[in-house]
Amino acid sequence: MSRSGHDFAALVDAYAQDLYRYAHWLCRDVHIAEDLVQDTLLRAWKSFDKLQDVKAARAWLITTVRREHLRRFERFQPTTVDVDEMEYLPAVPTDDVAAADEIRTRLSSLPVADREALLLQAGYGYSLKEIAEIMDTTPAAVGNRVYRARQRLLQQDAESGRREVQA
Amino acid sequence: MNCFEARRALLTDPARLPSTVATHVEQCERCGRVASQIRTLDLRVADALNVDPPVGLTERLKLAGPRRPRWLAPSMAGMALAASVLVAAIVIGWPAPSTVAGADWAGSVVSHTEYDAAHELTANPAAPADFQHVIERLGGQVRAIPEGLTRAGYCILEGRAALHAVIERAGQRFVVYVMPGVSTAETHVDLRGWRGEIISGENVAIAVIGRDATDDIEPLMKSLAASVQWSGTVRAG
Repeated sequence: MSRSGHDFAALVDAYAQDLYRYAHWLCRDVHIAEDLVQDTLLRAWKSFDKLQDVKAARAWLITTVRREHLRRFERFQPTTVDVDEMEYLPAVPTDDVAAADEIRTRLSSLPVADREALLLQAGYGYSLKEIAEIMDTTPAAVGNRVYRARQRLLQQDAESGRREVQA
Repeated sequence: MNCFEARRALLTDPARLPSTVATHVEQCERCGRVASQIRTLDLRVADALNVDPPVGLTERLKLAGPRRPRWLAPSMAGMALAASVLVAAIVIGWPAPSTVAGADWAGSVVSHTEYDAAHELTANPAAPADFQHVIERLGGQVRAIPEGLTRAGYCILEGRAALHAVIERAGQRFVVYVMPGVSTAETHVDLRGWRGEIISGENVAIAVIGRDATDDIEPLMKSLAASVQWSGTVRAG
């Protein structure tokens, strides 16, 4: 299939917003997130023939955003992530801003790999196998990560509930 | 199937439960409550991802797509290209004044405007800083930021680095090019729905075009000529 500007526009319409949300979550910077999406969609456009299956295309694009972020991160950023730096997360349109802020704060306290696996499953609906492909690991490892992440978040919910009862 | 196994499955992949687990969860009140808690948790996690993409994201991406230069969202490669153009200009000096005919410049600015449609984008709050940066890097000095400036960035016209800006006045958008090292006869532009003027001094030319540009062009030309200082002067009417 030939590639054209129209093909690229179709890719942008289909995937840009979804990819932006993931990219923003990864890098927490609006400009870098947009650059990540731009680079990813240009790569996708060059590989247009491989992107006929919508579901496969989405996973491929998510993987590419993640790899591009890691490549940039390794090049430009310190090699370790300070959990304290993960506190900032963007505002979301929600009726319950306080609840949204609370879950973001709790997510930020999770280990990076656990949080990423949980977001890919709960936020994007990927299976353990698909997440394993995106994260270059095994489905069993992903299963352990999402298990730990949910368990910890539920424990925090329970502790928060106990504090409210005591107060 | 026992409660421990069911909860392990719920915490691992609640949307894809094996039938045995699903049956247990339906029949076990406590596991049913846990399943409900986990589904609520997952909805909250999904909400955390629900960031509003910035206004104009898809339009910018399309404009910056294949065969289009990136406009005011410079990648490292773009910055490197702009830097190399400027370094080359510093090392070898600006080329001799262009001998390109006025009519060709008219075609060039209209073609570039259609190719890099910055005038279709929303205003960039950083436009004044971008304007100052580009003018200074092109060898000029900014006396005043033009009123109504909404976009400013580098572009290449006929192989030369130039300023490409958008100015909005009285509800009309004008596309502006400031081209150092260009000297051409005063030229009226009337091409493919774009109308405007190109004027030049000893070492710089300014082009202003718009969709319905008529009487508003001349005062805009004058204010542009007054807002930027070069080693030579720019005639403005």
